[in-house]
Amino acid sequence: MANLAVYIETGDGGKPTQASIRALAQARRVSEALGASVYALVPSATEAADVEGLSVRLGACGADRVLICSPGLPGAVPLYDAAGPLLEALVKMLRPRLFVFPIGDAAVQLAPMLAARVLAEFLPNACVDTAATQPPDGEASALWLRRLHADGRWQQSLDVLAADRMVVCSLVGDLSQQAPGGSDVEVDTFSSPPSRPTAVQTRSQPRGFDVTDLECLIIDDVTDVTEAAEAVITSAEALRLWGLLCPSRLVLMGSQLSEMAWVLLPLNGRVGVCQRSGNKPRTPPGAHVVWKTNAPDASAQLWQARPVRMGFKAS
Amino acid sequence: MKILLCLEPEAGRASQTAARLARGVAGAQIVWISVGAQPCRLSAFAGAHEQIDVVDPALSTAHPMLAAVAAATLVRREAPDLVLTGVRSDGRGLGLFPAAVAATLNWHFVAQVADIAPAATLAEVLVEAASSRAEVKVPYPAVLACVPQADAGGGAPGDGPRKQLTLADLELDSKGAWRRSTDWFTERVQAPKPTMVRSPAAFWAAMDGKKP
Repeated sequence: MANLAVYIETGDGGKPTQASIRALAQARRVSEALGASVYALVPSATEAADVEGLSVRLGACGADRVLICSPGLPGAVPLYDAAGPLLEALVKMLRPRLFVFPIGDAAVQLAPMLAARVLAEFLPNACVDTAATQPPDGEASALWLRRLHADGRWQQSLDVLAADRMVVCSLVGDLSQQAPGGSDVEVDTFSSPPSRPTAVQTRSQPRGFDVTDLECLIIDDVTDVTEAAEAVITSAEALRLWGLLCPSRLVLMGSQLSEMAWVLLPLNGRVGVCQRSGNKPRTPPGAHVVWKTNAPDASAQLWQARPVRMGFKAS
Repeated sequence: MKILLCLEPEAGRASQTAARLARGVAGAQIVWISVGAQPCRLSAFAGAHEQIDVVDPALSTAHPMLAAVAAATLVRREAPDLVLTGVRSDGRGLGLFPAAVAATLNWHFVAQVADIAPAATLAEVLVEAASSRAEVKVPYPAVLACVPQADAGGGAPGDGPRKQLTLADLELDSKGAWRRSTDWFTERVQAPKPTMVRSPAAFWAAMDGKKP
């Protein structure tokens, strides 16, 4: 039976991050299509008392088996110096078909390095497409990873089952596709192999805001739909690259758009473009949004959206 | 100190940031290399003391690891203290290239680098992490992948000699292990077709993956 491995990043209090939960849910969905086992790897420091709660949480989100590293790895960067030997050992042990990283630090610091070290295929910021048909030849496959390039023109597709080697990817989660799993989960703890004792993290400082759980990203100051779509994609790529957010929806609101339009792009599932009308900014009902402009001195602010109706003109 | 810049032929903003950071290191000897199917589009870009283009048509369809191995071969020849790249310098936007260079050389690797302050035996780098910024000490030699910044700038003209190599000059074979099979990996130049809706309900339904 094939194995799927999911790297679980933990935040404050040792709780898995939202991006990790979404990646795990995506892996669960894939595993049901393939009949594979899902291994959740928790390499960061965890108190013994938290192990049970963590395993129950991960089991409920789709893990068949939870692997917890004890003692936990240091959170210092270079991350691969600390976590690389562990990941490579796990790859040898589990031989996963697919190694999934959530959007975030690990996806940028660890995933490409692991792929290069074990000579795996690599596709970042991908979305899962199960039981799809791949144009143009119409050849069917059970599992595709797809990714839209930042320039909005290239679409990359990777057939996981046809690849002759392991595939490492970072998955863009989707809240609407969280797969409920059972709570029947096995938990293993293991000690990490020795890491390279060279890296020293000196100090860190919090950024101004943390928008990891953001539902919508709204971008303004574009003048046409093509530019709008490109701005959304580029911004989303950059933000994901920085691990800043993992939104389930991206909405571009163009106050200077000459037409009412929106586009649907397979970047993180869906990207919308719409236009506000009148003098009032129109924000999606009930959503926490970030208002982002392309002005050089603009700064992102967290907005509590007002329940307003969005007006659309017939195209 | 010797710094080697690995740029993709398109030289995006992250690569320009890497070039700016390299130029900011006082007294650094900068060697600029570019690996791709075409020469780097920016001539005299990095203010480099030496400029090397590795150009081979096979790189346009090869696995990104091939470009990384070619770059690593040049890095071994030049023996720099630091290698700076853009965070996605493979031209395909995968982000594999910088890590693959580090993995091939077995050097330290840090991505999302926003600033560097080199010292005698290590570099202090500013890493833009998910919800924090971290100052990290990275021993030499290391590969640092830089994040794009708005004020990357164009840079002073380079006055060093520029030469062009091929994969064969580096004793690399594009038809070997680094062939990327189209059996499982495809790229197509086609933007997704927009779908139009006429109501908020249809908008949000479509955003949730339902047909409007």
